[in-house]
This record gives sequence, C-alpha cells and structure tokens, in this order.
Amino acid sequence: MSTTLLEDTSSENSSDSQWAVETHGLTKRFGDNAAVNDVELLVPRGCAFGYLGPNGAGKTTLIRVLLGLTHADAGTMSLLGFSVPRHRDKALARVGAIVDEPRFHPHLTGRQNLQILAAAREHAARDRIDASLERVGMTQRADVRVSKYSMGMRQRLGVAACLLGDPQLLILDEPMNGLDPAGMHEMRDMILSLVAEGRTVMLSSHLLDEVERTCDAVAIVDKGRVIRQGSIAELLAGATMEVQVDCSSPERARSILATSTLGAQIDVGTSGLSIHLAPGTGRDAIAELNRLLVDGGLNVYRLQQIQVSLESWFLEVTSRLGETE
Amino acid sequence: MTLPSTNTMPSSLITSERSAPQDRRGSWIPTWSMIKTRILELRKRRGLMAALILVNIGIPAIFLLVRLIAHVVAPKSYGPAGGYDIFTGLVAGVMFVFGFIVAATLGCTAGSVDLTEGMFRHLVMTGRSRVALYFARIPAGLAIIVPLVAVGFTIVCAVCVFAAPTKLSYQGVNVPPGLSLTGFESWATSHPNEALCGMPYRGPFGVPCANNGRERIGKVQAIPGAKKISTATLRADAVKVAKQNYVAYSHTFLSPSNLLMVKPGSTARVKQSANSNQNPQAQS
Repeated sequence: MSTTLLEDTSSENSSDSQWAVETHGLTKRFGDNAAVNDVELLVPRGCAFGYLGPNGAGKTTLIRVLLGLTHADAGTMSLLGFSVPRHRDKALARVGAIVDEPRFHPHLTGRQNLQILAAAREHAARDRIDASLERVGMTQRADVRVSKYSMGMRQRLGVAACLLGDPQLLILDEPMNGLDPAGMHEMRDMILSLVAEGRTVMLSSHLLDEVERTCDAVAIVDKGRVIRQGSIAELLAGATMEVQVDCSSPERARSILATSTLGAQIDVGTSGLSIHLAPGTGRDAIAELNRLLVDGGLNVYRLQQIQVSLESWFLEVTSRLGETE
Repeated sequence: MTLPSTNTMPSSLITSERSAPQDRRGSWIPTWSMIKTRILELRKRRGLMAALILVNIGIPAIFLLVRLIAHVVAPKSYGPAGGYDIFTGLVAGVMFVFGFIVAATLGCTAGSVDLTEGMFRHLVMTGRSRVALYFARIPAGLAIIVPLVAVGFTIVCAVCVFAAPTKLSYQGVNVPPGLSLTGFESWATSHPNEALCGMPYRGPFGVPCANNGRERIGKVQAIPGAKKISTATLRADAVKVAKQNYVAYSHTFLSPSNLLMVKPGSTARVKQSANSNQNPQAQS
C-alpha cells in the first residue's frame, strides 16, 4: 500500500477559491480495500454537482472524509478554499451536510434538535432556526417530537439543519432516500432554489434520473475511483448516438449500412433498426444514413435520434468498465 | 405537507457576510449555549429524569414519610423519624450508594447518546472541536445531578433535624437534647437513677447503685444496714455527675444540626473521650 503523508499543500486560507470542493490523490483504505482511491475531484462553485456511483462505490466514505468524520490515508482536500483538516473549523463553518440518513434525538422536537445544532455553530445560527424550518416547510411540525416524524420529514429537518450555518456548500448524501414522488419533486425544487441563491450543492445518489434533472455537473465513481467528471452535457456528448429507423426492409438496410463507412453498430428489432453511431458523431451522420438507405432503394418511414439519458450512459460506462476487468 | 411556494431564501437566512464566522469553534472549551442545550437534551429524557428523582429524592423522602406517619400513628411502637442514626443511614448508605448509581447512569447517558442516536456526526460537521462537544456534557450532567442530590440531602437533613427524637441516647441514657449546664444539672437531679447509675463519672461519690440484672440501668439503693441516702446527697452527687459529663454531652447533642451532620466524625471522638472518662463506680 503506497501511502502518502497528508500534507497541507493548498496555501490558500480564504473562501475565494474557484472550487467548492477540491481533492487531489485522496485515498481512504479499510484494510486492503480502498474505499476512496486516489480521487481527483473538482466541484465548481454555484452549481448542483452529482456524485454518482453504484452501491459500495465509496460515495459516502468520500463525504465522510471531506467532512472530517474519518481521516484520509493520503492526499489533500479543501472545502471552499480552506484546506482540510488543517482549517477544518473554518471550512465547515459554511458547510451544511447530511450523511447517510439524517438522525436526531427522537425524544426532542425538531426545533429543539435544531437548537442543539445551532449552539455548536456561531451565535447567528440560533436566529436562523425559524427561517430554516420555514424553508423546508416544517414550521407546523417543528414542535412535534422527532420520534413521530416520517422519513421524509426527517430528511427535511436534515436540510433545515444544513441551512443553520447559512452554508455556501451543501453536501447531501442520498437526499432523495425515503421520499415519495411529491417529496422528491419538492427536494429537487429546493436544491435548485439553493443553487439559484449562489450556493453549491453536492449530492451523492444512484437515482440517475433525479440527478440528471437536478445537477449541472457530475462525477462518476466506481470502486472508489472517479472515472468521469464534467458537465452532464459534455459527458453525454461523449456517449454513442442511437438512431431508430423504420424502413421497408430492415434486413436489407442492415446489409447496406454494414458495407458503409459510418461504422455503425446495427440491431434489428421488431420495431425496426436500432443503429448506434460512434461517440462524437454529428447530426450529419443521420442525413448520410438516410441517403444510403434511399439510394439503396428502401422506403424510409421514420428516422429518430434517441436522446441518451444519464442513466443509459452511466450503465454504458460502468458496464464497459466491467468488461475490461 | 408542501414546501412554501416561494423559492427564495427568507431574508433572515441570508447573511450579507459569508466569510467564516469568528467564533473560535476550534477551541476545546464548550460554549454556554452548548452546555445549555446539552442540559435540555438530558432534562427531556423523562425516563431517566424520573429514575434520578425517584432514587435521589423519592426513596429517602418515602422512607422518612413512612417513619413520620408511623411515629404519628403509634409513637410508642415507632420512634421519631429523624435523628442521628437515620441521618447516617440515609446519607452514608442509601444516598451514597444510589447517588453513585444515578450519577453513573446520567454520565453514561450524557456520554453516549449522541453517538448512539447519530447526532454526534451532525455536531462534528459543524466544525466544532470534538473535545468541546464532549466537555459540554460534564457541566450539563453536573447541573442536573447536583440539584437533585441537594434536594434529597436537604429533605433528609430537614427531617433528621426537625423530627429528631426529643430524648437522645447519651451513654445509653435517654437525655433531652439541647440542655444548658443548668438544665442538664436540673435534669440529673430529677433523674438520679439515670445520672448516677447510667453516666460515667471519674471520682468518688457516696451513692451506691444496684442492678438486678434485668434493667439496663441500675438504681440508687442504700446499703442494707446503712443510713438512708438523703435527698441532698443524691442531688449533690447528681450535679457532680452532670457537671463532669456536660462537656461531652454538649459536644454531642447541644447543636446536633451542625455537629452531627457536618462533622459526624466528631461524635465518635466525643464518645471515645467519654468512654475513657467512665467512672468505674458507675459500671458496678
């Protein structure tokens, strides 16, 4: 195991950094298992950033390391420009986070739990309790004991707890867990509104559809290592393009396209042809496809480009990784 | 339940200055607010608080109440509720043992619930020093346990003083408490059997005592064939015994609320000195 000493290489000591989260070579091992493996992560400020990965990929461990809940074995990291763990107190002062499921003292009310958390923060945090509860729609239930809360209400209370510190960065671990569709919709709106206020929201999830709707940029993590990161548009641009074709003779169309220079992968199904073009192929390829089929004497009834979803791209990327191993 | 329709942050939630607050949260010293909220967290544990109150206040109070009632109902069968022996038993026995148990229980609760209930990580994520988070529990626990012990102790003290027996045992003789020297001499002259045959005396006096073996304290009795003991002799000897015993008596009983409860060890010392002064004649 090659372990580098944790050193404070980031000289900055202010919150003016371009990155909300910055890690270099971050590693966390549990025995022989590297839960976080040489992670290079850059989360830009003022955006919603998704940290995606299958179960056991090391998402929560990275968050725990970032928040100082556990120590890293190697690498450097900074939050809001403050290096961690050296300036942990300053960094975390403007960070709100939920790790795993939000848990509170069940015998206390939501408001009392927030009072406990606010007491550990600056004095002004106590004045934000009511506003935080209002923000997450918990004002009416604030004086009910947490033991009587549903999972969704605990999630809301967790977000309210995050807001106590007036955070510039929110780190939410699986924020949609346990929420019904309406709750997920509300959570998504809340995240977007927080981003609209200039805050950075980093959320880990394996609900790819939700992440695609919420986030501007993502990082894909697998087996502790970040394998892709960037804006969703950039990442999806690198995915294969799928075109569905409905024509008079699918088998003949397949033979025509197989001899062409398009380099397409062709599947014949009951609804027609499914053609996968190489990543980075432009829209002109679709016109070329049509021209080849028409020149071949086929009647083309429908040509449809299938929009690649983050989910299909994620599965493509992760399955590709699986094949190489 | 729906979220507020507005997507904007309430104005009170947005600070104009978003730099890191200067609140020294890296310090290991807990803030007063942290201690206060920790007290709140412990105080709201109804089961724990009920157990603490029951053990620290309830058990001594119930015990004393039963003794008070029993004494009121049947004073000849049941002695007074208070007194030195009861005080010693409650303070050195019940309150000491159970007080230790409840303090340990409270300490364990205060020290572990944050971890078991998953709140500690929320607190750590605020950037506050872990040491400060732990230290906040100590004054919070004390702030709960000390008043409870104080209340229990006050009840015990009050009952033991105000419901103390009107006659206290001094060298096995029942004597009224709180007498002055004159009062003690007066009591001795009116109780010559107890004074002359029950109390220690160093030196000779002319009054013999006799014990038939059935009584704990003997009786003044003239030697057969000798002259009858005069009242004046009896009184004079009783006054001598009273004078000699008054120092020990006053040390032990004159101010029971102070001497017995604050310095109970002094009683043993007084008893020891009294024993060393015992009159061999009184024992015969």
